Amino acid sequence: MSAVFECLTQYRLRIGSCCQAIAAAKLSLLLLLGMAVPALAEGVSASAVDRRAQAPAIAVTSDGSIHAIWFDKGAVGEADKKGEKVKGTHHSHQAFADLYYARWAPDEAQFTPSVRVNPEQGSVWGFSISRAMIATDDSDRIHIVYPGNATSPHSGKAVASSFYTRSVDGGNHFEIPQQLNEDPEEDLSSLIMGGLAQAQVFTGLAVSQQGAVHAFWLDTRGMTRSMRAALYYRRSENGGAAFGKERRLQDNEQCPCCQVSAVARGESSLFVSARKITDGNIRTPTVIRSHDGGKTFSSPVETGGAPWQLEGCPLKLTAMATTASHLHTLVHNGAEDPPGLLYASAETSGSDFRSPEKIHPEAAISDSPALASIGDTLLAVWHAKVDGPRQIYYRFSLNGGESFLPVQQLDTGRASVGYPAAATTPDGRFVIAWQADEVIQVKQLEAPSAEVAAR
Amino acid sequence: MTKRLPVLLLASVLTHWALAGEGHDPAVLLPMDRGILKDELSASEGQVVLVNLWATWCTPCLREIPDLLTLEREFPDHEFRLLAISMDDSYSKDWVSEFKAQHFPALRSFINAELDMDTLVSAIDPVWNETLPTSYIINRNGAVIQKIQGKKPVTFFREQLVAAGL
Repeated sequence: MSAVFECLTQYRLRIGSCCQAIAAAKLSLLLLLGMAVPALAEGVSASAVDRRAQAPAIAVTSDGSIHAIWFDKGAVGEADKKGEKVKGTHHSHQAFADLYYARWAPDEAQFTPSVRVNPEQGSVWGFSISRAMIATDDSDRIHIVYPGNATSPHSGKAVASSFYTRSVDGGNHFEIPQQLNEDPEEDLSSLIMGGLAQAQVFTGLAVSQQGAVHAFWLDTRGMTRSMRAALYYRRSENGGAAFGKERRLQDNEQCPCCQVSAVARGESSLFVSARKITDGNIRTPTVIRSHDGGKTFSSPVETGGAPWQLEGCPLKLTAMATTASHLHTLVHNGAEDPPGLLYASAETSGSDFRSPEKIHPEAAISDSPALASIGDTLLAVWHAKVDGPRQIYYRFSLNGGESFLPVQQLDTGRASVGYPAAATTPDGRFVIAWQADEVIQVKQLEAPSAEVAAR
Repeated sequence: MTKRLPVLLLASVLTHWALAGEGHDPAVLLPMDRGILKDELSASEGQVVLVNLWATWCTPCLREIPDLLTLEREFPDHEFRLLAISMDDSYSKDWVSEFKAQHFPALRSFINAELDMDTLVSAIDPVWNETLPTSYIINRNGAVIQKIQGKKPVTFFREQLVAAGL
């Protein structure tokens, strides 16, 4: 039976590779003919208009296919699943969303119909501030981490855990998810409040080109009344087929509700950002680094900015990207006047960050950052308000973050928009996804040439 | 969008008789959109209002609510109004209502009926950064005079309210 299964798997892989090759050839032909990539330059919907979609994340495979994921909260007009699930047990921290996936191929006008990734309906702990993450590698494997609901085998109570799944056939099938964190014994229900006995979520993901998969999450193990989380890590060296044991990277000094982010550079360098809580409840974004593929990590280094004192839920992720020689960060700071996104960079081989600068000085408020890079071209994208409703804005840097071109507003129509994500394509374009009302939209952007930028 | 209309119509009907807190049964979690928020604040002119944004998933918010209820009991009704708004998804209304009934039965609260948090809050704070808990002190003339982010001690809130004219 296993031989049959293996044969079928290989068949599916061959078909997948063949399809990808055809798609890549079609894309090349379109580009050779000078034709615009259909539809995506204008923007297309990835999710259905009659569904409630939140928190997009995107990645691109070598054939130029765009893979989008998001939380699905149900049909428009449908009551939230929470009441049905908890049956009066009052688990306030729980959520019962689904993780949806859709793919856009370069010669298609639309995304494929979306499919649910999590096997059991309603098993995703989905909020727009604890996104699922997606990444691809050079073998076109698609890697996903997401927060999910589980039951502690020790306490029998509800917990939130980090899950990993992957597709090795271009998104046609996703493997049965594996839980990344071990099951803690301690029952922290009275501390966390709201019914979760433990939480191992707000997961970050970095994948190297060869397919080393690095997953990081915030963990309530060891949490006391000061409500600080630890940072945990698990690594796969074989493309996500199997993971090593979990490791505790940072003790309980982390803000428990600011999502971890991570980025890989080459096969050996890794950068991980979390928000550290220091004396006086100051919540400071920090970066830890590894230059040996995740075997060892440095001490946290602050990215800079005014000290943000808050006993509350900032819910702010640090976006990161690397260029030839630098690591770039973009993160919201509530202590700035007005509060907004600060951009900072550091040499990938060094430690200290340069003094941070506001990415959008004219904005009354800016938040929800994303970064992506191709060579020394860097794209920063975020949502902000200038003198009206919230809009999506972006800036390019053509020199590795030394300077940025002027702020531009993305044309998104009249919808209520926000929460952008960014990725890059093999042919040198950028892709942005965002939430418009409750529909996920995707659009391609091209960086201007140096000549155009100079004008 | 048409599927959302009944929700907004219901919100409108339910809230007209609840303006300025009159007749707002604590057991009922009322939907609130931008228009209702503005109406509520207009109807509360002459009172000092503490607008408190909370959510069931925000532990510091939940720890703060008993203190705010203490202040509500402490100051006369005609002088002070606690206007609590749950920022949970409006589609979770029934569940949030159950949660509130169990943990904070005396709290008269609304729930955000807009598609996202910012659309509602921008009616009083165009530059809110979606951090919870957030509270606003609004003076008797209806002007926002202070934004408070993060859980603060009850003594802090009391001082600010007194400074606002209570």
